[in-house]
Amino acid sequence: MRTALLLILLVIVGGVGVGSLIYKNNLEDSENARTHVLASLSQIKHIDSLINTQMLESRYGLRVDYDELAQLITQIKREVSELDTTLLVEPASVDNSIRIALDNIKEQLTLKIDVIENFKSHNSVLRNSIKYAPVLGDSIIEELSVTNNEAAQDLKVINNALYRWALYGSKKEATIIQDNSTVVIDLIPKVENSIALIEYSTHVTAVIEEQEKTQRYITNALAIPLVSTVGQLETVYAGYYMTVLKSLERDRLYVMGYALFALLVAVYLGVMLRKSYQALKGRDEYRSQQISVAYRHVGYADNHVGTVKGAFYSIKEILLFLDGIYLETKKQSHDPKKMSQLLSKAIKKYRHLDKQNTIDETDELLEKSNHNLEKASTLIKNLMAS
Amino acid sequence: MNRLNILTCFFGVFLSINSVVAVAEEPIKPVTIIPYDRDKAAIGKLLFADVRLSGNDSLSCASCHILDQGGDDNVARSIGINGKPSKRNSPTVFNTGFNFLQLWDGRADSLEQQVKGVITSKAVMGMESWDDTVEKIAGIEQYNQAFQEVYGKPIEAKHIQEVIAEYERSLVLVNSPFDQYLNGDESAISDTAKTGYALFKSYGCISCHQGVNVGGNMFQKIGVLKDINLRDPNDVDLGRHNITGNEWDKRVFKVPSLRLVVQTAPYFHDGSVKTLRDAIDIMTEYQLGRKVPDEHKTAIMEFLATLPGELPTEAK
Ligand code: HEC
Ligand code: HEC
Repeated sequence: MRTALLLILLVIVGGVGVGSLIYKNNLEDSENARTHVLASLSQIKHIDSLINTQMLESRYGLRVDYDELAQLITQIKREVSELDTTLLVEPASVDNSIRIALDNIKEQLTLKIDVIENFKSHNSVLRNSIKYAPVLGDSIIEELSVTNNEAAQDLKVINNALYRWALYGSKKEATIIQDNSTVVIDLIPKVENSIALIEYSTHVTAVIEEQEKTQRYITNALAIPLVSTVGQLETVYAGYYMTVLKSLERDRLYVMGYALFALLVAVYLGVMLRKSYQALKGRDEYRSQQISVAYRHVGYADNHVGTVKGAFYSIKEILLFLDGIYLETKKQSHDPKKMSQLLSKAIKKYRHLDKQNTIDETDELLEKSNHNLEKASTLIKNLMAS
Repeated sequence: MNRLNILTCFFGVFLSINSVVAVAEEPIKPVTIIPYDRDKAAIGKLLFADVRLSGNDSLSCASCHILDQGGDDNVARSIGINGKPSKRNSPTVFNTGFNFLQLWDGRADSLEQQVKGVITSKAVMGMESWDDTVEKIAGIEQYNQAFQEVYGKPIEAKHIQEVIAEYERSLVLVNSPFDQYLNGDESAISDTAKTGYALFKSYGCISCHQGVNVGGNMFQKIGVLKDINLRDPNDVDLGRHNITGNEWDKRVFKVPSLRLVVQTAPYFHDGSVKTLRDAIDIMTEYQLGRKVPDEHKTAIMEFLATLPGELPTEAK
């Protein structure tokens, strides 16, 4: 009985313990997951802004290699694909809006990387031509100024624009270069060193085309709404996290409810235990009481039996005495005086003996003793039955 | 969009002014080792040279990436398991850990992915599937034990891929004469090589072959300033276009690293060019739109010869 109670208590306390542990772990898990996800998201935004800066720096020749930019792209790809594991392995997989938001990010990232790779390629070509063309232009102008000063002056307009463009990269110069590019082509058949002019023409064209492309790629890359898709995921995730919290809150209520229930059960069991203990104690007391009563009865019976035994002795004595008188009187039947003496002696003795009223009481006593023994026996029978 | 333009313009002016003032930074950086797991790399090293990774036990990675010959196979196009030349020239496996993507068209995001693809490729190593590969390798007690020791569990496909990739990450060649020069040792390379480096920069090779690996960090169309069809109308490899389907990706390839270029003839994605001088010729004509005198090419070649480093002792 007691071990059973202890077991029940153990199950209850254990249940509450395990329940709160699970709750606590779940809470920690989702808090960790949330910290992880939010950290990744802000990391993605951070890397994205570094990527943008690097692009702009490369665009204006401040970055002389793409190693860092390439590493950042590898990093942001890894960061996004890790989100896949943290977000979609979690129960969040039920939440379709998260999947959609994440797919959006991936799509935008793929687009952006594509554009950046194009930017890198074209920017490299542009940087070459933009460095080389003005220098080549100068040497051609120098040569031309001797033979064809007019042409040299025309070229100078383009070449100066190229220089300024290399330095400031403003649209105005680009237009000047573009507007005057035919000048170079027109000149080709008119000069001696046409090979240099053809080369120059190639590079001026490259500058115009590559500049246009590079600018377009950089504008496109910056316009790709990667950050806002990340923001969307943040919002969706915040909503999802609220539902996680709510369900956790529900879990917490469950655990608390269970704990309360367990407490009630424990209190109830305690009360029951106490009650049954007291009942047990009462019954024990009653039992010993009954037993002592039975004993008393047995004692009584014993006493009665003793008394009866005494009475029997007296009766035996009386009978023996009477027996003696009878023999004496039979002997003295010839002597009436003696006989009468003997008789009066006998009566006296009998009276003395009978003073104890033994004979009359013997029956009564036997009956009483019997009664006591019966009582004791039922008491004991009852006790044994209980 | 307008605001963005103004902003980039403003930023541009700011940066351009900066760039004029800024101290010139070298576009090539010395090689530093890539962190890797030695225990995993040790298994990877065994697998790299193990022909049992191929369908008919005839080819290992090392068959096409011969480590004491520059990490490639010295033929135009590698011979696969079926005895036929594959589509492309085998690049070196040295310093590949620095490449931003793997393979000529960048179709593998990582070294692991490259391993994943090559072993089950019908034309290359010809294993039936990765399940088969795992089963086969798990049947070899030596590997069973080694993987168990490192991963604490039975062999998995991703672990085979990882150990080989880890080994490749250890294949980094450090302390080249050129790196010593970059680190301040003026006497580490010859004057011609220094001139070669200057020309490499001034001609603009550096705008594509740059960074730690002197390449391997961007894509480029082959023939940016002159139509490459003029060179070889038979070359039908469209490169990255095969992966993306984008029009602009036609004939686009990963710019290869030039770190080991002096040891890895023949050249280009199809191995169609036998000598380094010819390769440089093509580069100047099609990629730079320039005529380069022979002595400049010689100087550039001398510079390129200073690029290979050596394997650190702990990776040998
Ligand atoms: C049959 C010859 C052959 C075998 C065998 C072979 N490779 Fe290659 N490897 C090539 C070729 C050819 C390429 C280029 C393929 C392409 O770009 O499409 C290449 C490319 C690579 C690259 C990319 C390098 C870069 O710079 O892009 C790596 C890394 C590589 N292999 C590693 C391995 C490993 C590891 C193994 C063994 C598991 C292996 N290879 C087996 C021929 C081979
Ligand atoms: C516009 C970018 C660009 C420029 C500039 C450029 N290269 Fe290349 N280079 C490439 C590409 C792309 C390839 C690969 C082409 C292919 O495989 O078809 C390549 C390949 C090479 C190769 C062959 C490498 C190999 O392992 O097969 C050499 C050598 C080389 N370039 C040297 C140079 C030199 C020297 C210069 C300067 C004179 C230069 N490159 C300028 C993009 C460029």
